[in-house]
Amino acid sequence: MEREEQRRLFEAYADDVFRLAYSYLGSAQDAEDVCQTVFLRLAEGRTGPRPGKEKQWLLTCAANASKDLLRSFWRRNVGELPEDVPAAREDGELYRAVMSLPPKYRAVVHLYYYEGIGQREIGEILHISRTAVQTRMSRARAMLRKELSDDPGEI
Amino acid sequence: MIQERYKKMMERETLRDVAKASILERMEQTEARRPVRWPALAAACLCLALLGTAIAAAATGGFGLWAESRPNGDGGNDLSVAAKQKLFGEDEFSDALQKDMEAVRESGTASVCYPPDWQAARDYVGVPLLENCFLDGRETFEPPEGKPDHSLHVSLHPGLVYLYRPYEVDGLLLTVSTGIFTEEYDGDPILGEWVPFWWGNHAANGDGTVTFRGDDDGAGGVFRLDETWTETMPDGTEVLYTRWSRAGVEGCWLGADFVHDGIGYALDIFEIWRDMPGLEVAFAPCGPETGYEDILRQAVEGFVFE
Repeated sequence: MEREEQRRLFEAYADDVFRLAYSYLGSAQDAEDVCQTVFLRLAEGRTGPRPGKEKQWLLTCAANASKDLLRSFWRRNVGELPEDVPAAREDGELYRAVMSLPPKYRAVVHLYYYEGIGQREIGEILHISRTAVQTRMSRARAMLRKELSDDPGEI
Repeated sequence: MIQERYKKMMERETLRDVAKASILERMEQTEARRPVRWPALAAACLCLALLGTAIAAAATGGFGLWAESRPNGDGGNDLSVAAKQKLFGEDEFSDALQKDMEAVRESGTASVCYPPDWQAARDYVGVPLLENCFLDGRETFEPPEGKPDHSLHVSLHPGLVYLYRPYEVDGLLLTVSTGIFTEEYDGDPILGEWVPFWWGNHAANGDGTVTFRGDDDGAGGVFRLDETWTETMPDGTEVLYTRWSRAGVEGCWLGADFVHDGIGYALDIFEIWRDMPGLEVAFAPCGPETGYEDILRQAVEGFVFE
């Protein structure tokens, strides 16, 4: 893949990669690290996206890199990292509720709510079955209902 | 709507300009590498026929397959597969494991711990376990609500360190288990350095079938070992594949076993077990189109053999 095309993909999808990583990790700094990992992998060119599947490939790489990073956190016994906790954040209640979900649920919520991706494609990105996507989404919704004061009907 | 609120919230989260510039700069400096090409696998097939109770020992490379003549309590003969595995000295394990093994020795009971991931398990064990680029990033198989989560665990027994890890691959449960024998092992070193790879539950019935006698919880049944064959990895590691079927149940149980650096690895896809009474795990429904053999082979090839 030509450098120009790599740059175009970076401009088009860097924020999406960042947001997915952020939803996993709850840390802007770590999400930036994931972003760098993903796009350097693209630049190395050892593997790459199929035409028309560029965004999915980048999101898959972001999910994998985020999971790797989470594992390394656990290894260091740091645990969850809600570093950007939102005293002054708009919609802090929603942020806290989402970040209270286990990371693997947050990723599904993000891909479904933010990216608007269907269950099948979410499964492909996260390497899980469609049933597992449904299970996670259903459990995430139940947890969000508990956390949020909204009308449960709107979740 | 929650979706709108979520979108609005996340749209404010963007990569900082300084980070963008830094990543772009590093991308420019990164030299393209040649794509990885997996060497073609040299496959050598060797079928080991099950001839009933009078099976002679049949050995190939790192594996032996035979029925022992000792009585198994059911009037039949146990079926064993043994492999050339190393008996590790205690000082080859990590300090943490040695300490825990000492406690196991004193108490006489097995100890189980739950590392968060394979890397943590490798660190805990201390001896060189293989990495797997295909399975990296896969999730633990998600059980249905109310079912226990069979997470990665390491159990210590006198003479044996055992790791078990379930993965979900395309909706299938794929388990990877690893047995590391120590010099304390005093079970059945059947022929010198040969130690059991499977042991305990298989009895040859004499009619081409094998009974998996099962656990105390009632899981078990009669399985037919339909086929075994071996394939050789590029570094010479020999992988023993086994295909089992169960009367009246569509699908199969497919296993792949190999020994690397003296450590035994067993990978299994238990498609036929999904309706087995007494098993408290979930199995995604799948049909022949799922390609479980391809998945198992990909998982085996994902190990970084060196």
